[in-house]
Amino acid sequence: MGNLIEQWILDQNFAFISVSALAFVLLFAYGFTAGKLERLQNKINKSQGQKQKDAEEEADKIVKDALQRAREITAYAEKFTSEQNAKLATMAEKTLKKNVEEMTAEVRRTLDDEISGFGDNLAAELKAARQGFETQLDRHRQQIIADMEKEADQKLKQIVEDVLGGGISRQVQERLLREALSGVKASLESKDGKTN
Amino acid sequence: MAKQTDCDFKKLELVIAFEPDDDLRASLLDWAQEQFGEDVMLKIRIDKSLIAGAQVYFEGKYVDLSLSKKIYAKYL
Repeated sequence: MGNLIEQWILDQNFAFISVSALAFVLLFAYGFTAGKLERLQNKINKSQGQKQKDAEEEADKIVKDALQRAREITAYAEKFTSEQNAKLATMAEKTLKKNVEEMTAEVRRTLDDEISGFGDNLAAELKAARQGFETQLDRHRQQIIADMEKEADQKLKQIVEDVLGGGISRQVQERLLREALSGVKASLESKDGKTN
Repeated sequence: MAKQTDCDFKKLELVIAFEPDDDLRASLLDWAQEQFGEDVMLKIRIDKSLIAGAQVYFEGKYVDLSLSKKIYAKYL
């Protein structure tokens, strides 16, 4: 019995030892595995963190690059816009200048035409006025001469009448009258007879 | 015989430089009728500016036979 018990005990010990050993092995294995797993996990975690960090850095870098690119694009756009605006302003200025020059030329041509026409009209008016003045002056001159001649004729006739009229005797008057009347009919019928 | 009116006579106007007496008037009427016919009507007008001679107006015509005309034609 004792043997049996001993044997049982032995068996039990052996089993215990075996179990212990097994447990030890299992524990060791577990511990080893757990450590391994922890390291692996740490490694994984570390790797993931690095990757995350790298990703974040990469993302930051991308964002920074994008922002830089955006700033460059903005600056370029602003520069382009500014240049285009400057070009447009220059074109507008040139167009405006051209329009002003064309308008100025048109106005000058119009003024030249009007001035030329005005000059022609003025010259024609001056010529007409001068002709009218000369005509009027000539008329006055002729009138003055006619008046002077008429006055001179009147004075001379008066002198002739005063000198001759009173100095011709009635006998001579009758004789001169008869001489005159002797040719009256012939004179009336000839070219000497003027229409009354 | 029908009576003649002024319209039936031929009018002769004689302008002379002096006032004629009756004899001269009669003489001038005879001369006028002898020259232009019995139906002539003589009108005598005085204008001393003629100096001498006469101006005669007859049927729309006239002739200047005055001394003044001869003088003025020569000297004016």
